[in-house]
Amino acid sequence: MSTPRYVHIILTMAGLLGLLLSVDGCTEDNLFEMGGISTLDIPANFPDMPVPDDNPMLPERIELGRALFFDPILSVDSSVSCASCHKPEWAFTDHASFSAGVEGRLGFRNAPTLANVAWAPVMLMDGGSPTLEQQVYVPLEDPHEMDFNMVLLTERLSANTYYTQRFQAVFGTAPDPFGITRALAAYQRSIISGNSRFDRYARKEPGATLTESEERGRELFFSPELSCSSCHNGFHFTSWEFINNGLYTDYGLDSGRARITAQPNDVGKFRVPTLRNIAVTFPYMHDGSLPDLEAVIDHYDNGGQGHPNQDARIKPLGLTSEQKTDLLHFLYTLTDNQFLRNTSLVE
Amino acid sequence: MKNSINILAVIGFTSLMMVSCTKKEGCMDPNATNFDATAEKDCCCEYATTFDLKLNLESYVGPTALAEGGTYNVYGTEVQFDLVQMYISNVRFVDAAGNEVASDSYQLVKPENSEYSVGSFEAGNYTKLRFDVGIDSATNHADPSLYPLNDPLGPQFPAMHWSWDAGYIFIRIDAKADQDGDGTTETAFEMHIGRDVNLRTVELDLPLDGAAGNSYTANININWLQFFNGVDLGGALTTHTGDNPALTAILVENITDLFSIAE
Repeated sequence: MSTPRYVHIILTMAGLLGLLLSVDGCTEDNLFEMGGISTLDIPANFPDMPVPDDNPMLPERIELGRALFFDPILSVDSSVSCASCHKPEWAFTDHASFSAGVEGRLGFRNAPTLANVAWAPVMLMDGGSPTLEQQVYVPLEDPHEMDFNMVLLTERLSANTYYTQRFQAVFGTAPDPFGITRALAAYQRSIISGNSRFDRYARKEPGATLTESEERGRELFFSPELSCSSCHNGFHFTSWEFINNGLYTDYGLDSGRARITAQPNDVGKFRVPTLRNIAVTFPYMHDGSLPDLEAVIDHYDNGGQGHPNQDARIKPLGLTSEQKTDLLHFLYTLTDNQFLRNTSLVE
Repeated sequence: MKNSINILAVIGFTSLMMVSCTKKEGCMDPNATNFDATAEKDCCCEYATTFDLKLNLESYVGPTALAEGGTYNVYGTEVQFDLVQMYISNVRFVDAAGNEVASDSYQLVKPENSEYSVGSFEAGNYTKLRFDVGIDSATNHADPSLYPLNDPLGPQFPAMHWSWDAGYIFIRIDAKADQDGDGTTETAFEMHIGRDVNLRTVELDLPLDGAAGNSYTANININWLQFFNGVDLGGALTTHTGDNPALTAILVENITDLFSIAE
């Protein structure tokens, strides 16, 4: 259904480009360069971005999606937007264990980062949604998040002069579910992070170095003994597997992957999360139950609680306090400050 | 150049004369699909090879017709039905040899509507009608945004699709039960059934000598009382399929018993 390709964006609408740049300010962080042909800023060490045939990365779609992402008009009482729980300055996460939806209702999972979500093979921690386009319905219609409905949202946007004009300009139609989902997905695919200190070091860019402690942490992280990188690997520091990391012996109401597959051996399995920008995306785990990275490292050092589905790679590590500090320092190098203050991603 | 234009004009004039000298050809049989009342010479008639089918689906709870918002006796417990919706798809006729002819249609069945056009079928002699309650797997996991809002498979309000476990809700009942027997329906519950494994095929005896060009209506009753057969009405009545597997299994087992040919 989707064909991977290098995402070159040909800007045919020079007038629109001028508008974008005048709104955003022309900084190095802008998605679009000046000139006739522009390229989405995909880091050199990333694979090609998979893009569905029916949703090319057109600047005007990304812009419309950005407007929708930051607009509380998507929630039933116009109180919360996507950005209420996916805050750009925290790598599109929230610092609450469970974010508040409409009327302060709490969900049951920690808001995940949206950095590099374009490359996710399936959506959600349990893999329940196949595409970014279809995932739009999840927060929109969840009673604990926006508690709204696609039919009603379409009616509301169709009664809104600003959006009727924008959809007409971008899709040539009134607001409809196709345009709403395509625009939001296109914007989210533009949320790209790959310029951490570690990235620059890995790309051997001039002046990019690690301290001695960070370097020791890096070696520990990638060592077969600790096997952190057997799950947190690749350009996005995740294998995208669903695994049980031994957080609990009883997962209670959130069975993770088993919620979708109904298979007992999937209980407690969640998708391996990225470690990009991990220092700013606290709290941790699917339920936000670990407050800081020290607690996360301690969890893996202890080797898990021993759930029947616990992955074999989770085992006691016997780390010294210096090793834990070194690992922590390495994880700090995965923060992409340029991404966190990327004004072009913010409405 | 001038000569060739003259020649063309002559040919055109001649052919006009020839047409005007003949009777108008067309199909003169009123039973044909291309009947032309102005034709003077019979020619080229085309006849239908298919018949059309409508389903007339009447919803009941036991002997009483179901209207949304109404309260009904369900095996001794009063239940107020606020929303009752169901997908029916892949309607097909079966002949004596077991061969199926299908029409490609998806119906979102609601108590307030009874008549559903399910398309055209090859003319023939059939013994049974079959259809699925639910949506075939390929369609079930496709993107509802690709359908228009007025399409049964498009986004609905109230929603008939799960985004968090991508697929349609085959059957959705939102209701309230009077579990303590005090005369008020105090216990709100939801029965939302979906997922590929829970698609059920209904088969009804419906002998039909389906003649081309005709339209037929199959009168079918849906008795929602049967859906609750074997359910502990004093217990937990809510299921979203995955979160209450025991109740889901009972309800799914009852799906084929909901339907009968109207007397």
